[in-house]
Amino acid sequence: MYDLEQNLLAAALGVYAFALVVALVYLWTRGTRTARAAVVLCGLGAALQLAGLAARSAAAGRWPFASLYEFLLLAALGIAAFAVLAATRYRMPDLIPFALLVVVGLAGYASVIARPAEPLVPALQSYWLQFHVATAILAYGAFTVAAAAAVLRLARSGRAEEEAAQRLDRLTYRLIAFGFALLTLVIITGAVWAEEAWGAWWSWDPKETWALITWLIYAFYLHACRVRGWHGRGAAWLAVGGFVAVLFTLLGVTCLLPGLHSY
Amino acid sequence: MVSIRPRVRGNPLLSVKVFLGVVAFLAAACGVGTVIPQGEAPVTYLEHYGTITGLLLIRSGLTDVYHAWWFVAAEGWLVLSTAACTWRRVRALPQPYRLDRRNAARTGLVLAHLGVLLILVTLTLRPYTHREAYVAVAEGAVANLSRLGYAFDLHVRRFTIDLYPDGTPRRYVSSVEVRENGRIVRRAQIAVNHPLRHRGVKVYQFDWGWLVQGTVRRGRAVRSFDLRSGDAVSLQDGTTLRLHFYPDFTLDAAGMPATRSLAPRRPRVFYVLEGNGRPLTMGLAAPGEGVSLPDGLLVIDGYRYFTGLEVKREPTLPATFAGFVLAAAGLGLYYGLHLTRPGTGREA
Repeated sequence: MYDLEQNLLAAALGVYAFALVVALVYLWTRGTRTARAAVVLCGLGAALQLAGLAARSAAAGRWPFASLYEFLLLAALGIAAFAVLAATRYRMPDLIPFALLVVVGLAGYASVIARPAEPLVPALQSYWLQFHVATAILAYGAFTVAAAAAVLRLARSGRAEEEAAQRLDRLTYRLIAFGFALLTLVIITGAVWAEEAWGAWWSWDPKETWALITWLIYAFYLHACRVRGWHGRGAAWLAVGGFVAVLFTLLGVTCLLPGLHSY
Repeated sequence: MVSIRPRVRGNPLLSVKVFLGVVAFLAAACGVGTVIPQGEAPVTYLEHYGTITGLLLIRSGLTDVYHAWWFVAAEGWLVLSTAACTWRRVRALPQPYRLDRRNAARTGLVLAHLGVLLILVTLTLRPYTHREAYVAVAEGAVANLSRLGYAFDLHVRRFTIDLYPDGTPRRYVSSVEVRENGRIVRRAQIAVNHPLRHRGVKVYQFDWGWLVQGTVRRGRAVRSFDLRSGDAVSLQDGTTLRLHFYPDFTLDAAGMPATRSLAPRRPRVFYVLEGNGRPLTMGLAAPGEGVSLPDGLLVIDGYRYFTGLEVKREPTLPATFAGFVLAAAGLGLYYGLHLTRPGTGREA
């Protein structure tokens, strides 16, 4: 079963990488067909990854929510799903290259640290694990695509592109608002669970604290945009900064700062 | 399009601009708090960062950021600012109130701010209002919690570790009797993720370990001990005897003592006699047998589990959880109505 899982996940990584190449070609050629091919390939990669994760779940008899390896794959899946959604529903295929860059990076790193599923340690045996991780995947997906839109926004400076820039501003805001609501749920479900498992709903654990920092940055963004009327390049830079905090919470804290979180 | 920008009146220190400054300050302070190790002994900072930088860090509170006066003050400022903003939002609701999509979204935003306010207030108050204690209790022994000011005692009848087929721990369970004034009022199990709740107090399964009992005889002097595996007993001549218990003793690849499993298949105590911080002699002892020490005799009588329980009373917890519910429901209501509006993405 582990072989099947690893083959599916390797195939997913290969398809993602190919999709990234096609997406970069699209940035060069601007062909509609190329864009469509990149979106389809991104969706195919996500489907293969989902199948691989399903195989892993079936073998382990539990959801694949328990290690950094599993969470990296889920985060990549969430980002790919949001990228496909943004490219199709909002007709913005330009977001695909940036999103795929992050997806290939996360899935590639995951393949380096791959290992067979292990049984759940006592602290992870909680229904809250499912809610905590599921909301985190969706939040991370939304924040990544928001950052992609912000990066595109920063690349558009000419007056002729004012309308496109405003569309990107709006998309960034909506994605961040959605991600912020979910990140709030991530922190709340984590706190309720920590109260049951560790006996403290908040312990200033590095992962907790960085999730809070991320939340504060996005709270700043939403208030600055909505109440103070911020928009344009400043707001876009803030959206990119929030995404850097997301990545640091996901990888930097795990690798650099010891704490209570198992990943 | 109607702006939700509340009209800012009154104290300019509670304005949105200052609020954003405080948010940025708190985010930066939290970041610093994760980079500099927190709550260590002062000497650690002096050794690691040098005298001048170390002293600066300690004096400024950067070694205990989350309890430093300036951090608590910023939290307090955020509380006041959020309260003022929530109040402005409540007053901005139309009178008389009519339930439509726009007003429901606005109400959601008020609820979310109220929720965050409750969470913030209880987070700031928590260090001053909550009480906790750690007790390590041997199997069969009683934790005298009433002596610590709690309304009951706990008799630990049994501590068990359930294992997965591969031998890794699946569940740690303390089976306890709750006693009030010596009378058994209930029986319960305490496990990770399943704390005991009794009279507003929560008791958590925190950790566990082994206790080793025995005696050291030196001439006529007999020293009995009942200590945690890894701890040391001081002997009269200034030496100490450190004991490590291994239920299923083996030597690992590096030749160091280790245990193959948690089952007591080959129980052994690895002892180290230390003088002036240096090992004088070391060896293995099996329960029931005597081991000769320099001018003495070590006898291990037995071993048993102890369970580490964390006891906590947090009076503000219901308010915190109410805050969680309000924040989640409020944000769900607001963004549910706001983001599903087709097209603009502008404020409803």
